[in-house]
Amino acid sequence: MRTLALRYVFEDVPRLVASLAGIAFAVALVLVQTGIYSGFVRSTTLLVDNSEADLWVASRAMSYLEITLPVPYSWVARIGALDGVQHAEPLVLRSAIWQSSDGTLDYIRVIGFEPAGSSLRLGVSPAALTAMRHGDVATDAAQLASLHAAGVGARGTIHGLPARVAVLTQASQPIISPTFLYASLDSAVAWAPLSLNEIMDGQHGSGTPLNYVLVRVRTPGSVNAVRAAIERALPSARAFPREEMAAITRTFWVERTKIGFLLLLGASLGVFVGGIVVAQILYASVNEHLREYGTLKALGIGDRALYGAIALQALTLAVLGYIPGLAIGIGVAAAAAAGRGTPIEITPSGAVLAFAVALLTCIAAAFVAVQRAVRVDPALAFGA
Amino acid sequence: MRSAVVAGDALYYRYPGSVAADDVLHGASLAVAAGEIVLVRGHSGSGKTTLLSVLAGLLSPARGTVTVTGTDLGALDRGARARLRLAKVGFVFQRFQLIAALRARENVELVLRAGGVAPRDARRRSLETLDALGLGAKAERYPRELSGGEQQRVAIARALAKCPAVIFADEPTSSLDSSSGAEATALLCALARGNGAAVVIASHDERIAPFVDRIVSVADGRCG
Ligand SMILES: Nc1ncnc2c1ncn2[C@@H]1O[C@H](COP(=O)(O)OP(=O)(O)O)[C@@H](O)[C@H]1O
Ligand SMILES: [Mg+2]
Repeated sequence: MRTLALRYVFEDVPRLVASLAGIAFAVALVLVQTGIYSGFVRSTTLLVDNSEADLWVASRAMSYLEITLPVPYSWVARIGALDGVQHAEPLVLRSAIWQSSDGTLDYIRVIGFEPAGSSLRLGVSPAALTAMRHGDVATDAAQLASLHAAGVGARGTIHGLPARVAVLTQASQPIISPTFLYASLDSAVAWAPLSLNEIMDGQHGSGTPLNYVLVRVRTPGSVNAVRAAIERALPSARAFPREEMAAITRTFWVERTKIGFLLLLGASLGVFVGGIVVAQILYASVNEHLREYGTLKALGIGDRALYGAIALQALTLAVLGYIPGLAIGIGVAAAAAAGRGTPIEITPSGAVLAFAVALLTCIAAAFVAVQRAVRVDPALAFGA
Repeated sequence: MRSAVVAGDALYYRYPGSVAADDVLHGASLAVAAGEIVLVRGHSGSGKTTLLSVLAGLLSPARGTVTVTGTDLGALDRGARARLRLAKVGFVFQRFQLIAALRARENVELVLRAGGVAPRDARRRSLETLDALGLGAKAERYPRELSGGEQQRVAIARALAKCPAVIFADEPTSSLDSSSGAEATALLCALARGNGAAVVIASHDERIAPFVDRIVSVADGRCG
């Protein structure tokens, strides 16, 4: 029966190719959609993930990474003086507009930090960052087009002040955010002063208002103790461990954009279409062999053997369709990465999920088709 | 008389959708003993195929009982009837009904494997049976590469290989024009006799008569 099941799969090559195409299509869609999802989700927390800070200290009012109230610069020194803190550094996140030398505008997010000793890792040597002068920016290589900048040395203005692309960074640009420009704290503040509202709402004292103070602790196990010490010393502060900061931001974007639902919808449609194709093809195959199924049943071959045979066909199709589907998914991800710098992350769990989906789709399709074979009248075999 | 391997008693059968006057079987009875070969004769449309189908458990009679090797088919569900057929019943269908995607040997092996015979044994028995029918050299051919007579012998091999208690053969010669059909049927009878299998052949081919033990005629839905 196994031999026969496989002969039925391979006897009609165009039909086999069509069903494999259906499965590959569904697999590739699931891979790409889950890949977009993981790529998107990971990209929302890129700034947090790129920092080696153990704690992110922010205003109590912080909603997620990009929406928070300013805190006073004096916190850097106060936190740095606490027991267990190895390093405290300022971080500002400001919105502004870049005007390139040819006059084109781009919406930007300026990340101001102190490169010396910073916990930010941007895929370039720390020396390249510390060498940046006032008015220099570091930006992701993939953003040059958006900035209308030819490369390192390209000039523009921000808030009427000169700016220059000095360093190209790697994996430092979230998908849905404006162009990230990394610069020294002084440059960032000069280009993008706080709005009056933010100043009014913030409870800062003297100095440059900050968005975050990033903290590295002296001993790895002491994060919670240091966190408590900071919140005790600064009642209007909250200190988030890096993973918690990332989780808050991730959750915000996932809920805000409903991206999971949208991608799920897309993937489901793909799986549905692929499933219909496979079911249709298996059904046609069963129909074509209806008389033979009748003969098999007359000979005494039971329903279980028929189900087994169709399940084997489903498994074979799933495996054979999965391989090109996986290749297409990986190809699309590679093309996307090369072309637009859009991260589509094909993860092992995404690949496993896609295979499970392929298998379930084939089994469901086979189950539909086998009903026809099971119901065929064995007395058909005696018919002339 | 020895105890019957297959026995139908007072069988009534009517195809779904037809009326009472159209009863194809109308109190038909037939009992066949182990090793006995019975020819069921009757003009076309007299109900020979229907009788075989009912005796084999492919159709359920409206009234009457069928026992195969002592088991009452009426007491079995569909699956159990299929298992009984797989274990005890061989078939030679009118159009042979070989599986086109399988080689001659594989066609024979299929029922053996489904019946739980180990792959190696199934292969050996399949080749032996095909050999006994003079097809040893063509065992690896697909049905479409065989003549009608050869296909019929593969079908006979498929029925014989599992050493069934009873073999039903419906019009085994009707799709063959030469005398090879009758010869192959004679071979079927000889080999079945050697195995002690009961054989029921439905046919109006006079050439088969010399090989059988008993001839019954079907008319008006009864056996005489
Ligand atoms: N599937 C069926 N549905 C309805 N009537 C049938 C069917 N098969 C056979 N018959 C009728 O039953 C009668 C007996 O048919 P059958 O048993 O095939 O006769 P035989 O094999 O002797 O030629 C015929 O009148 C035939 O028309
Ligand atoms: Mg007939």
